[in-house]
Amino acid sequence: MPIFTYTFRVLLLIGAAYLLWPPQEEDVADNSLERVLNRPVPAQAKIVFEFFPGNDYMPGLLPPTATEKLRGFLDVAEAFEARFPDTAIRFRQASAGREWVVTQLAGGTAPDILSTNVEDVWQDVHKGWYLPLDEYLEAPNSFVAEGAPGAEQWWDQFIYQAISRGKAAPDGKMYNLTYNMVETGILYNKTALDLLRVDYPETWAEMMTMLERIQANPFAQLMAELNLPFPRTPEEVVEAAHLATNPNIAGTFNRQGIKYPETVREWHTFHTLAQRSSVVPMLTNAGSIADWGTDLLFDQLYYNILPGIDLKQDPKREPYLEGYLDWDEICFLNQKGFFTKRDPRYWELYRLLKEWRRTWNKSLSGDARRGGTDLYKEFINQRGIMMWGGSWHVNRLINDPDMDFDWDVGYLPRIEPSAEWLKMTVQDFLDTVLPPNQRPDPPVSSLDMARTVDQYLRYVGPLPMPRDKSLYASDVDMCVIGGAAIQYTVTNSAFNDTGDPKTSKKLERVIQFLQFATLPEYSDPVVNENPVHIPNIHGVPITRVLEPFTRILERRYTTTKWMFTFDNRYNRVYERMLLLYLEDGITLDEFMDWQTDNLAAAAQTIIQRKKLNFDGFEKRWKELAPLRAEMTGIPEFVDR
Amino acid sequence: MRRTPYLQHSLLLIGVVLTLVPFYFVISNAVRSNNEIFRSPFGFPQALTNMVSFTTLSLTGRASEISYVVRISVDDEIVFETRRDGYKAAMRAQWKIMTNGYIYAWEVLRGYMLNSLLVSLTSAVGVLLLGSISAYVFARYRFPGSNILFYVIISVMMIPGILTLVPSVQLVTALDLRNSYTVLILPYIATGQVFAIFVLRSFFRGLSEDLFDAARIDGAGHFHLYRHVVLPLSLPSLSVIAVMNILATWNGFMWPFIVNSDQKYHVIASGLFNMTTGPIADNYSAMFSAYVLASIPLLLLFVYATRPFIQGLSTGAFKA
Amino acid sequence: MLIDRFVDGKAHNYTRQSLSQITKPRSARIVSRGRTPSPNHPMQTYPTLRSSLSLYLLVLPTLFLLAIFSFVPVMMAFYNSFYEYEVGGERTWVGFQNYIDYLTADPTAMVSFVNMALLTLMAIVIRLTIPLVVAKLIHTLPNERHRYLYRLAFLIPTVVPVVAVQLIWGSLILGETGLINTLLENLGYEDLAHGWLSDPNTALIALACIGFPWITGFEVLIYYAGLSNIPESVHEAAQLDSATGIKKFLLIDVPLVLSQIKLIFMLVLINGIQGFELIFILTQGGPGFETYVPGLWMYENAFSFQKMGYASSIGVILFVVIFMLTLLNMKYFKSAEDMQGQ
Repeated sequence: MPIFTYTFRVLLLIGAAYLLWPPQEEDVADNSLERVLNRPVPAQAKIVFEFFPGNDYMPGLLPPTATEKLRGFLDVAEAFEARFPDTAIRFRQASAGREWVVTQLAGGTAPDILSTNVEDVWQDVHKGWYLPLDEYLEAPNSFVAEGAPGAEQWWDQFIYQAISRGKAAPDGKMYNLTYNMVETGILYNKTALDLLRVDYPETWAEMMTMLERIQANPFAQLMAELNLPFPRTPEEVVEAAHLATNPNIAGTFNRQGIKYPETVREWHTFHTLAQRSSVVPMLTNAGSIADWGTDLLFDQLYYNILPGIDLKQDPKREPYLEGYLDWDEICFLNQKGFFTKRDPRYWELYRLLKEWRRTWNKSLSGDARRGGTDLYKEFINQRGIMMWGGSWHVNRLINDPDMDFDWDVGYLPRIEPSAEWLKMTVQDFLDTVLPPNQRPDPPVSSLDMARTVDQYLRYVGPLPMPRDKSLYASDVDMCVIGGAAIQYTVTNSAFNDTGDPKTSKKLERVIQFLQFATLPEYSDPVVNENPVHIPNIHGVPITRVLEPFTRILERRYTTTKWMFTFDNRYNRVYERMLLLYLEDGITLDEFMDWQTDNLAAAAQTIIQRKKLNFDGFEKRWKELAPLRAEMTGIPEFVDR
Repeated sequence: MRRTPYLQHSLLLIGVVLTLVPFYFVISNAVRSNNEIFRSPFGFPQALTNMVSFTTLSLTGRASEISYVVRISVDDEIVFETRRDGYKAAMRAQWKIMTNGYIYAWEVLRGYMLNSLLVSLTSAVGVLLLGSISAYVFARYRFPGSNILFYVIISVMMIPGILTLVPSVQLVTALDLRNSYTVLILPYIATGQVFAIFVLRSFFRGLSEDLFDAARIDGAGHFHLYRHVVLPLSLPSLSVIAVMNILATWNGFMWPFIVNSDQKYHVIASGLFNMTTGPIADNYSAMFSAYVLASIPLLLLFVYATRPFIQGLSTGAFKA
Repeated sequence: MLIDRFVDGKAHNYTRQSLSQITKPRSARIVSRGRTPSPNHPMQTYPTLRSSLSLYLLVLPTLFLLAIFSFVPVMMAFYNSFYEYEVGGERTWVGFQNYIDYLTADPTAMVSFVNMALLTLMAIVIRLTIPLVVAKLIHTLPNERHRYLYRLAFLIPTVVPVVAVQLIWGSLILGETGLINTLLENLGYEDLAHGWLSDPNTALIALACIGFPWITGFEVLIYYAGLSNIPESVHEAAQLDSATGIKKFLLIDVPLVLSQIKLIFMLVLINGIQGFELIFILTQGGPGFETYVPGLWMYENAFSFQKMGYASSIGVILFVVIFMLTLLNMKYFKSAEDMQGQ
């Protein structure tokens, strides 16, 4: 036996050595991740800079949305190195999260060109970690031929001018290049909606009704009552069509409001949904809601009072960021009582979220990979009918061999306003608007019955509201909250050869590389290899499937992006308390207490860190007072 | 006493089954394709059933009926279907499905595996070396300050890792050691050797002085005493310490994660975590394969080291 | 991790003796001068610094590494906790403000400590009992091959990387379509199926249940080794006294593996107090602050919120807690050998 055990161990060692041995150069494709990360630096290369293109475009990775391993930027890098033999480009990988970026930058070891979220950059501009790009963007792109866009100003190459220019930091400088655009949207199961005989909802009320209908799972109820066949081929469908004339069956279908299936796909969807014990109407998770959900609803509820509270106008950013509230404005407004317990619109925001939550999936926490819900998987399996996704999902959906229903892209519908309720008396409101099962608690005294709703809300207390309309809705279409996707910033390590941006040869090459990469012929292979984002450069064709998102991008931009306004601590606490609130862990009252404190603390930190001065704002505040005098839903006990 | 212990076996088997259920799913999902996992997370691998059916078909002489449809998408419109006919081609297609996840995972994991091996083995060697030398000195020699030094060293065992986490990161940044192997190995040696010193000192104390006298008469200096007298006798304890060290360093996740941001220097524990935030995380098949692959080295370690480990624990020196 | 010194067989007496010698007044100590080896005294004594130079050199690498990676960080931690600063920012002296803030004004403090205590308690109860029972069951099997196989089988959870185990439990077992929810739905109890990790009522319990059935191979091995050490004579004596089965187990085996139990107890205790990896990976503190532990809050403050001083103060507080518990353990828990020695 000893010979046996020893040969086994020797074989094991040999096998391990074989597996662990770095693969030979020829055997491995040059766009395998390992080779990409370890590209050799040729001897004549005197300038070496590091580039992190983002996980969507990193050569060597195989994202689920692409069909092959990526190689776009590898080819671009090689072309650039061929043009400038004294330069070598190294690819680096990055970890997600602001912690990583901050530690890298503080240590001076960040990649020279970094793909990052520009709002994260805004937070740290005062530390000198990033390079303003204005002078380069206003100069010509040296690689562009005469007459083509970019020959006069690099800026001209970008399609979405307003969004791209709108990404300037509040200090007025442009720190990033918007390489392409992304947009969120609602992906929905069109077959299921057809079966339910509904069109995509256009108002919030329609959406809530539809979601609640789905939640009741009428398909399962139908199956419980009738015994229907399951046709899988067109011939069987034709046979099954005869059953539609049966009055019993037709009547049951009509009662539930469901269309009799007419195609193989519809039958398949019908049976899939009918077999489920529960169908999730809307798939989303806490992170998205804390980010997008909050921003979208916030915009709906605050848009019509913006004229009275938008204190700062920035001519450079105004065309796109009209009415955008930066953090200094938010801190000031917070001191005036906005976004606190005293702000009725803020209450309304979270009330609406809670109502909406009833139609979401059960597990809202976290990431798909960490105990959270994999939204895509649920959508593909038809366990959920609508999914909050984005342009990054479409290519995956199209290439998915298990896709067996029709789908389409929609957007969140607007909330209908109901300002007329403010003028009604409480009595009328309770009689006509509220459903009978929703009564105020504590009950309204008879004295107060004659007051108007507006007075009651201001001086007495809150009233229950119907779930699908809002007193403070601004009667505007939903805004867009996405926009810039991959944004490249140049960090301060790009000019660490001389320490001065003006004399640095390394920086010169870095800028040239960026100009090179934004040429349409070099941007096309990158962007369309993994078609998850919408190109932002003239001359780059857009993949057909992404076109619905270009229409969404035409909407106006949001009022503010909460998750990018304050520091990480605010974000974490906010997301967690929001999750707790949505899961019925705390009441709306308690949540508002928490959030008021959280926001006040975060505002305090920002005021100290950036040494904000509010004198200019005070002046403007007084100037806007007449506008505010006519507005409703403004925090009380505030100098108007 | 020779009757079969049915009760014990049944209880233990229940325990084994309950323990291994999650890992069964990991292994089975590692050989399924991504879409299969989507559809039914807990099903039996389709590839295996296919292989079985193909084999029975071919054995019963119906090999001509074997065919398998493969779907490849070429661009955003056409999903290209192709058939694999014949036993060999169909079996090969199944094998490809089963190993797809592994191949992709291994590409990412290979570097991490090498790093883990390097870090764990080097730190184990370092711990044994430094620990035994210091234990030897403290055990058999008394010199000014030896007791104080010993207690100072032992007191390190009481420092929780969490206290030193933040300052260690700052220190390492200041010393410019980040993104290297040294920053992974040296702290492990520093903390691991304390336990080794502690255990080995009491073991070395127990050795009879006669052995040392005999060697000293032959003119042995410290080095020879150490190498020829002390080491051979302490092999069981050394193997216990080595195994415990390898376990701790292999699974250590927090420290490599914080201190090394460059993917090149990640070990398996932190590399796996990073994989969950990258694009590979959506490829369930690859992720599960990565878990399986990452477990193999430790499994091998335990297959070979359990017996010496238990022996080492049972020697008098180690009744800690 | 403090392990009882007074354990090993032969050296036992020497150790006690030499320690007791140190506590005697200097004049009463018996110290042999010079290099005369004495058969009763095992240690070589070097009276002067110069002659012990080689010994100092031998110990130097150990001390050097320890100084850099243990002592300096500890001192830095204490030092930092009295300041408040941000990475890349300035440093301001705040004295004890960090401690006061944490203990009084921090919303997570109370919850974290309660969570930590609950999780640690549960871990102690589970990890001291279940692996011991399993080790005993394995130990009583007659066939050596079976014993080996069972030990190996239970080692599998230890072998899979901890990160992987946590992720497996998070997504495979507890997720929306995880094993538990699927089973509940198939059995007809779909109302009970919910997001275990996102529901504030169940998040902590779900985290504690990870690892079911908690038969960790490493502890089984240690207990097994302890049980193997019990000499046959003890078992025979017990049989003569007709103590069998469970009574024998409780009254005889358990006290004799007390030192192993103590070891595991200390390991689990310290890991429970400072460990936060599991929570970091799965819930990051969970809905609200339901699953926070002090270690996680410290990590977040240091690396996400950049409040280094505050984080250091949390670390110091945890250190004090562990230190006190360790002292308690040393004072009040005695192992079998202690009791034998007396």
